[in-house]
Amino acid sequence: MISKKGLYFGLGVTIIAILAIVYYRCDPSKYGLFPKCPFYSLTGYNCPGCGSQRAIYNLLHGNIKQAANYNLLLVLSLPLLAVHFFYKIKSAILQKDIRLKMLYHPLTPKIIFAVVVIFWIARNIPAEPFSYLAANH
Amino acid sequence: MDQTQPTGQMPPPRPKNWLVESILVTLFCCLPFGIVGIVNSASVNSRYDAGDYAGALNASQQAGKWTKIGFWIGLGVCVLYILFVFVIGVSFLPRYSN
Repeated sequence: MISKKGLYFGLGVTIIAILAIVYYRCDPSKYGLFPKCPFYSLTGYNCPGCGSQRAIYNLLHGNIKQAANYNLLLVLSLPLLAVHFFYKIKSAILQKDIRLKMLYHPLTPKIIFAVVVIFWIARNIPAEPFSYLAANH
Repeated sequence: MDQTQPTGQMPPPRPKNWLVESILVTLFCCLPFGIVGIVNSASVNSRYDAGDYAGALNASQQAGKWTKIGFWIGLGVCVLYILFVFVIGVSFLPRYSN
């Protein structure tokens, strides 16, 4: 019998695999088929996630520098995400709830919130050092 | 002395703070709901550490709620966008995407 959790896990892995193939094969900066950011479409300003799809295309091709150019925050968050999902899989295998202690530190979400907001504002400043953070629509 | 916490009782398990999920929604769904999730993650941690277990659980449920709303709206926008593109036809494709 497959548990509900196992079913979700399998479904998640399948969707991620399909998306990885799509984002490996198609460059979102060349094809208009990819969904555009609604925030950017409405306001003309970059949101914290703008450039993520192009960044993933470049990451899948091993081009970290170009990925960081599209969305620096995404590239910076990768180590954290990797460690988090490593712990998740580890706790699923060991049937134990192992968590990354750092994520539960009272300061961590506050620092991340500040980083996201500062990144959001900074990437919309149309001046030299900040404009490198923009997603270059 | 008002003893709200009986001695020897284990504190309840730390509720899930949804921090990583909120970050993912912020990065991929382009919606402010992820940020609401991050704010609630902050109160999950601080309330639990202050001994407010019910408050932490409540903040955890709020964080989860907003993260899921952000996720489903993001997914819905993607699906609608793809449908829209197919209905309009390939000739009207915009040149740039997110």
